[in-house]
Amino acid sequence: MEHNKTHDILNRMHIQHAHDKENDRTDTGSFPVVRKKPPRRIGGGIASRLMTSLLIVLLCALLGFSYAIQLNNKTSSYETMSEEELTRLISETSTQVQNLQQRKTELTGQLNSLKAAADKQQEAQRIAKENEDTSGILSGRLPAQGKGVVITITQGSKENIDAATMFQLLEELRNAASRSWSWTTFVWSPRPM
Amino acid sequence: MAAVLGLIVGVIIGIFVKPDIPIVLQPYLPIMVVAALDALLGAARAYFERSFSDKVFVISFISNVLTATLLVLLGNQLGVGSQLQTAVIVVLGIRIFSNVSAIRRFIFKG
Repeated sequence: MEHNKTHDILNRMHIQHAHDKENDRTDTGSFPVVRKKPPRRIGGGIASRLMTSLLIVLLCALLGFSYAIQLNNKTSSYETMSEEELTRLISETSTQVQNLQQRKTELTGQLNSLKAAADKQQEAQRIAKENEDTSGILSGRLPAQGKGVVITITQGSKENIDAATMFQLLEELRNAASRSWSWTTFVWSPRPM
Repeated sequence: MAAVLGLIVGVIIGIFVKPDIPIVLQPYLPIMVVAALDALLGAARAYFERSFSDKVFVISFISNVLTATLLVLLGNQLGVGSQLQTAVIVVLGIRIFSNVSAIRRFIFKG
């Protein structure tokens, strides 16, 4: 009997506690936003509504117009480059132009000699042999020889050198009129501690 | 609706009439388009929230376009042109996405 009474009291206390907790909850639900002043839908006359619609049409027409224009002339990337990059680009382009003109004179000379030669077959063979060497070096079949230039690339102190930088290096070399290159030595030296 | 009609009219006019844009304005045109698009979507969201006001739309349209252009101009003069342009585009893109998702919530409220 005793055990039942304490169990009953405990149970009631538990239930009362639960009810109290439920009643003492102070959470509020999220209220919808109440504006300071009600939205004034005076419902303007025909004229003002027409003006509103006209204005909206005008602005959206401007947007669509600019969009269509922008589609038609996409700006090139030259406008984003800085001045020194542009001057460098100009000088390298003129170097390339000179190289191409030189190549053109060579080829014209070969063509003229071919036309003037009596024995066309032998002349053609001679010229083919001449071009073979040049093309061989360009395409990488024959090894290139020469003084060359030694480039030392050391590990950066802030971050590693990524492949994009190496690629840019190769492209810069090519743009500076080097015909071919070969990696002769790779020396990995550890950073001095 | 008036806005869609205006957009279509504008695009058609722009495709058929190819005017010459002054060179000074040409680099800023894409930023202006994105800023105007952001203002348009903000107005659409306000329309769905039943708080659309044409004055606010016009003012926000013009001020968005002007602010974006001036920021890019300032960046070009300071030498951080492309970075500031990227920042402006990022912020406008974020606003566009948030406006679109608010519109979507209003449309599919059920």
